[in-house]
Amino acid sequence: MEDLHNIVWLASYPKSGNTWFRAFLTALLNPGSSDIDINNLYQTTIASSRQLFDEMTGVSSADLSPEEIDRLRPLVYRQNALESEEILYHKVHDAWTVLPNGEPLFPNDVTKVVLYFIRNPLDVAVSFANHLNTGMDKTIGIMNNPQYAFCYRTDRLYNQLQQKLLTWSGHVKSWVDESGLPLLVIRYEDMKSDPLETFSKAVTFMGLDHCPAEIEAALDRASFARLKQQEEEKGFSEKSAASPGFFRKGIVGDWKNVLSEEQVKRIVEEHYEVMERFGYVSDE
Amino acid sequence: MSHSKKFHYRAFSLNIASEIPVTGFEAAAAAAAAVDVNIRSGEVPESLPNAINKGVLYQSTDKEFLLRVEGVAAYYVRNGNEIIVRRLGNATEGEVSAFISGTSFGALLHQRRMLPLHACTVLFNDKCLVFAGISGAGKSTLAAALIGQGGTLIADDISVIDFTGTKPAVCPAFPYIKIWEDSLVHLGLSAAGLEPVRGELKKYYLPVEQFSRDYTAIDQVFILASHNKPEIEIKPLQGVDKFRALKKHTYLFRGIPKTGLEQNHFLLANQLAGQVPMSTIIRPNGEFNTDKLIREISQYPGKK
Repeated sequence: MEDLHNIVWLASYPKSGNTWFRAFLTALLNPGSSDIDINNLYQTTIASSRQLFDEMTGVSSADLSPEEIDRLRPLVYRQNALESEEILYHKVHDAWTVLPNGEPLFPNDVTKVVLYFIRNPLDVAVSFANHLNTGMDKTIGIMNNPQYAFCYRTDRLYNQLQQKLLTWSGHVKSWVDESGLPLLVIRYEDMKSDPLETFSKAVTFMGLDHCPAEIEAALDRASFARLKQQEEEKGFSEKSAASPGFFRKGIVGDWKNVLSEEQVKRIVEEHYEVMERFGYVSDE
Repeated sequence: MSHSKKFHYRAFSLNIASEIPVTGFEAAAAAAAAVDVNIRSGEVPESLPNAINKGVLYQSTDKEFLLRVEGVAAYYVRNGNEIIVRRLGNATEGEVSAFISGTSFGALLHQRRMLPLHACTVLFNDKCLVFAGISGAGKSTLAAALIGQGGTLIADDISVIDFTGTKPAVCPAFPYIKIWEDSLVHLGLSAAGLEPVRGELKKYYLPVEQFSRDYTAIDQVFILASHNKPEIEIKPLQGVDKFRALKKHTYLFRGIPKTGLEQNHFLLANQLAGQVPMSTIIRPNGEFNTDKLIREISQYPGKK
């Protein structure tokens, strides 16, 4: 039987450095000196793409129930893996979950590795509120809501399939603890403070072979400042319509300037265990 | 599913005899001309041993297409003139029907060497406008809005191109639009009394009285998409980009590669690209302002 382990899942809760990494990957896999185009990033189709699903299945997902769609999603990834001779990269915001039939949404047999991007939930809240263009309290409510899903309504059609996010902690634990997949946790804060080492580790973990000079060059071409500048000049297709901008500040600790004591308390109380585990408690 | 009764329909300019009711297809007189397509209940193969193309739910050759939707039905489409259906589990007739008028007919139309686009077509201000786009682009919502402003429906979701006249034309499909409740509300319509496409989905068959039963020569093909900017953008397509767009928006294209049907598709799509003007039309992906979109469409391409 053919070895299908060729999908790299770039998994994260939203606003945790996933897109920055995809820009870096684009630069790394397309060496040269030209600017990378943020509106034409390396093929990292989001796993919840409706188009991917419809093409792989041959039916319109718009005629299927959310449960039917979920049941078929592992088969879609298997088909996708089967048809590709190259490594596939898929961005994912879904939590790692098990379907009612016992099959994981993201099957082991097609997975090469998972890069799991994590960021201090206090900063995630600030960035996520900007992304959703919604109030901070409501955003914190979303991060604390185990039922929360993207594209959940059944009375309209979205470009993407429904994605269950769980709570912020639930999302982390689903991938890191429950998936059992070969996985590397990448902290956004480490991507910022020690990019060469952090990105190098990720590259090695994916089984790619690039020297430090190549990684440095890719980091430079995908620097936050350049990405932000490009968005300001040309726009970015992945920005939500409601949000003022996708690349906001990209800094660590901005929550201290934005969140009220009460808001910090709501996040820390709900997510203390996971925050502590990944080093997000000491810097308070 | 044992029906002694036969249903007779006309859809996509084909005469259809069916043992199974097909929601949306227009009833035709039983004594109509020769039957083009037979739909019946029966046993279907488990797989196609010589399959050239395979997807998660389908397999295909030049002449056969097999689709299996778990909990609904298996569909065996062959020779461009027959669809055999085996119901699975407790699926309702309506549920079984949804994948006849959709995927199964898409495959059948390819087998008949026709060109089915994933597009709706509306006659509006005396112009035949084809709107192709991926699921969720807003095709059906726009079609319903155009009809609300005096347009005439020619096809929803699958637009079949006919090349027998001097200009490429669209075959009349059937007088229904499949539309989500959210869009109905936006258009000031109600879902009350409408038949749902699937029991659990708030997506309905909206009957359309203003429906044309004639072949209608195409004036313009629009590729409908959305972006996160506030403005509507219309850009003409030229050269090979026209063919690429038609290929991308061919209904069920993945069922035909490496078969004789692909060569046929190549010829037809090129012919269409060479004969009709095409543009992309990109709308804001937030609130769907159909009035504004229709204003832009009405003014395009301006005075010739």
